[in-house]
Amino acid sequence: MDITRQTVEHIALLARLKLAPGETEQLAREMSSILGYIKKLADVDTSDIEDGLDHSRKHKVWAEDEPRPSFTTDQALSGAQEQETGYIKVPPIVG
Amino acid sequence: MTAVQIAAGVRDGKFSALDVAKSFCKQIEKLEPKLHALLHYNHDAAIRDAKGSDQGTKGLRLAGVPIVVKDNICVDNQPLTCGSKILKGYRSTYSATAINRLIDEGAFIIGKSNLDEFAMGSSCEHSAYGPTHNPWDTARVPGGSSGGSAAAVAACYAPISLGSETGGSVRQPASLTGIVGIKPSYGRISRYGLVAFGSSLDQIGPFARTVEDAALALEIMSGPDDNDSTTLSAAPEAYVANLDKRDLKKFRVGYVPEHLGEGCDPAIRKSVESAIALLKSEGATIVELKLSDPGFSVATYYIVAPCEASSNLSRFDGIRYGPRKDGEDLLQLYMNTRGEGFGHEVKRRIMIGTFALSAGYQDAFYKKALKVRELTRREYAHAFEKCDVMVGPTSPNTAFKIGENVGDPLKMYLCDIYTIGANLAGIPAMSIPCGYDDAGLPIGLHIQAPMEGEMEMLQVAYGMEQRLKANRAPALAGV
Repeated sequence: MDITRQTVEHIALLARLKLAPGETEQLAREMSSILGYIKKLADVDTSDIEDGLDHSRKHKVWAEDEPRPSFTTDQALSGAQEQETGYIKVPPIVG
Repeated sequence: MTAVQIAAGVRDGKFSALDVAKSFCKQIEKLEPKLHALLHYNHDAAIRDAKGSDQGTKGLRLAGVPIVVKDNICVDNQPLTCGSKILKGYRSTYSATAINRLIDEGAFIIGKSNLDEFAMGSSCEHSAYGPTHNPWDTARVPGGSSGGSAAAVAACYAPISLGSETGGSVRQPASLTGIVGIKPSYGRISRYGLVAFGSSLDQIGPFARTVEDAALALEIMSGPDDNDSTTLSAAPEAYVANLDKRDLKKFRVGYVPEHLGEGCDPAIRKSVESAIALLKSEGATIVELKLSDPGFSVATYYIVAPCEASSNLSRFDGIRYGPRKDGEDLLQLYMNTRGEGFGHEVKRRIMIGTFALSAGYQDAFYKKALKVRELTRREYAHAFEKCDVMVGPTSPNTAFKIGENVGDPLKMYLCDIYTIGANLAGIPAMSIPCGYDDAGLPIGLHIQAPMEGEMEMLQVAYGMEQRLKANRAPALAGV
């Protein structure tokens, strides 16, 4: 399977990944090789399988709709780089 | 000493958890410069936690037992990097359910171990913090992705460690370091507090030097959890008390002759064939099975796991956790943070997953892989009508040299060729020491059982362990 440079650049944008110099070409090569191997799945006859979901796990798990102790704001924000008055600070989204 | 012996000694007052901690800390401090199995180790914290576990050890099953934890499992207020730069400096704000259950039984956490970044790899070479070395030969890999946890138990840093599995990340390193490693049934152990990679495949699993210790850890960690709706509803079973309750002769043991053919190291083939002969001589019924080419499982896995990973890892964006690389707008901030924070292997899997889920390719790749996965489930279910457990090689090779396979991702992916099927099907599987090759490197015996069949799997493992007598520590451990 031939993955082009353009495809890699498109997918990298969708995945929000900036690629280092040379990484685009490297990924094009590697993805072509790996997806080439994976293409063998096309040979498997799956005509009698509806959707591939695991229907053995039919039980539904319900949680009571009751408040439980949870993280404090400080705990929840403790990993964030920038915060202000209990909120995470980010660059402008709309210019 | 095993975990069972340590806990008995502490309970009986022969020694304290503090004595145990001092002794294991000494071992870690002696060998860590050679192995680099740990990412976080703090002598004073280990001593403090051991003192804490000395309070009220009465009757606890892991009284004073030190445990090494893979650094993708949360331990409250301890660092958590997942072997990635993108989480450098992050500290967990809670403990995983599995960790809480171990601590409630008297255990303490002695260190957090190295791994392939975000558990993606089969050699521990993809850690952003440098590779871990195999205690049997420090020029070789310990396997992966839970390579640090495997090396730690093999080198006697602790009797038990935790790893995680998505496609063989406990069993393959157990095989390459000559110890016991278990991948439980999907849902047996809560995933709450395990950083998600492939959510439909991920499971936490224990490493130990004996089947009994591994079974004990499994027994304690298993059971339903309100914080993980995919946990099985079954209450924990008494694995340890029942290890010797069923003779090998009462088992039908299946194996797939093709798995011992092309692609399998001849020394591994020989060792596994003698294990099968031993089972036969013990009176077990040996059943030859036919399964599809395991290459199809590898192909299925390398769609399903990267697809789930591409979604799960979208949360690492520089906003809520970890370092941030600024950009002129939010999009550039995401691109820069993720581009610089993730290593190449992780990027490659996110790319494959994003590709396989993208418009125009989803049906041919992702949806097709889900259907083939269902075929795998059915095939296993059918095979387990003819046998109680299945045996074979855990890995097609013994420990390879550091650097040997890094340039060839596909070759690296094929290290998991025998283990991936169990993750796709959700069934329990484990590796136990089976023998050694000419270079003295360990070989693992793979044992798989039907869904929720841990008890039978452990009984066969225990019976074989007693007869194979292949459990040894590497010379480097000095025990």
